Amino acid sequence: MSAKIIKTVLFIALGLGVGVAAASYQSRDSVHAMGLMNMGGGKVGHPVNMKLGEDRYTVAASLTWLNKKPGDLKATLENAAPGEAVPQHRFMSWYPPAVDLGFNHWNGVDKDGVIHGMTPFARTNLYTVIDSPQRPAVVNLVMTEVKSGKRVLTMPIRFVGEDGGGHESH
Amino acid sequence: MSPINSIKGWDRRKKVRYAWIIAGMLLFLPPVAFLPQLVGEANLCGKLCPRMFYIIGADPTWTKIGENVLRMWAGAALVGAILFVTFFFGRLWCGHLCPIGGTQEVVSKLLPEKATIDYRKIPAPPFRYAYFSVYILGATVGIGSIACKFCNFRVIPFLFGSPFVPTYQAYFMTGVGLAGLAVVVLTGFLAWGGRGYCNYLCPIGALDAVVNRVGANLPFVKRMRVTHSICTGCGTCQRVCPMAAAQVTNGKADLDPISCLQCRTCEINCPTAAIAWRKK
Repeated sequence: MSAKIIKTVLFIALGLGVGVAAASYQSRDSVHAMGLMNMGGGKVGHPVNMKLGEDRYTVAASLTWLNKKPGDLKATLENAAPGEAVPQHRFMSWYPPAVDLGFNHWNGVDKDGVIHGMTPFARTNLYTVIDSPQRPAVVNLVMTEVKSGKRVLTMPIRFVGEDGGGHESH
Repeated sequence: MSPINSIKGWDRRKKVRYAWIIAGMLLFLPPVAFLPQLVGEANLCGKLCPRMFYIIGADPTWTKIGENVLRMWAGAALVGAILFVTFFFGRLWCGHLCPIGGTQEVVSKLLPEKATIDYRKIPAPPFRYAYFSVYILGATVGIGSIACKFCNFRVIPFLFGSPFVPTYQAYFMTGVGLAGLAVVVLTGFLAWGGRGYCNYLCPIGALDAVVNRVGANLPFVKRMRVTHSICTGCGTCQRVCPMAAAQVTNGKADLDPISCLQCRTCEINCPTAAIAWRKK
């Protein structure tokens, strides 16, 4: 086998190795989640699990509003166990852009966690930055349609111990 | 020499190229992000993502692939336009307009050469397409998805936006944000010529290079080409090419269209004007 072929094979192996390492990498403190919000209670794309041990966690959720009419949607975080404390958290979005050229209605979240006039069938991003709970817990990211008070999505976020598994989509 | 005087002394083609790169930054990147805002986005994610619609997911069906294209329609349209232009005119997007590769290149050029890493000993095509195959099929075969994790189309717009939008700052405080930043710094900002990411990791670059290679065979399309009767084989092109696309063999230079970015650096530096952007 010529040196050129050996070199090519080696660098194919290197490219595959780097690719596999990159694909296998999972961040411990952040997760991407997907949710479909509708008046029927919505649907979560996949389970959201985090391993305890970090100071702070970020859930970057892509949320789609499956409704024919625009709506004001309020984000809240609640502990699935009644009476248990909710970790400190804040909601953020990258909408609107720093310089708003006025072409669009931006489905951004305000300081109270409300997305005003969420565009029908549009997708938005909602970052939830959560301080670590003291012990394993399940907290729900709840989206509520303000006018009707109906829950349009309940997304459980599981904080599990070191051996509790995890998930990250991308 | 002051930077302004240094720029004044540049070749006109170099000035034009950097003008295009700056225009690309203004058009695509925060805080203005004019083109993303036209399609309802604040950065190059969401509808404008040019990198996810062709990833084959864990459970691929034609319906899902179609849904992905619809969800990222602006990104799909952008990639379609890039490949169309590349086929007929060469890699004008990658070499002249891409705000991401352009930013990496500009930052790299601002650094002292000694601080940069020369990756050009790594042959790009075998590495690039091996990595690209994992990028496309990783989720399908159960390894996981590379997608947004190390995406410089995410990291660089977020860097530009972070002084203005706290969400971008929050991203850089996560493990995935720091890992993405590290990859961009190592393969972009610190790469000699600033094009390491473009050459080895960029999925759009991988697609674009194939289209460039296929189009190069046609007599009516323009590409960077060497006139062998003039070439002295001095090796200048090989030394200055940031993509390691120029090779001198048997005393004559050749440019490999599977890696050539069409930045025209070789053309500008060729002492005998043997290299030009021309038809076959």
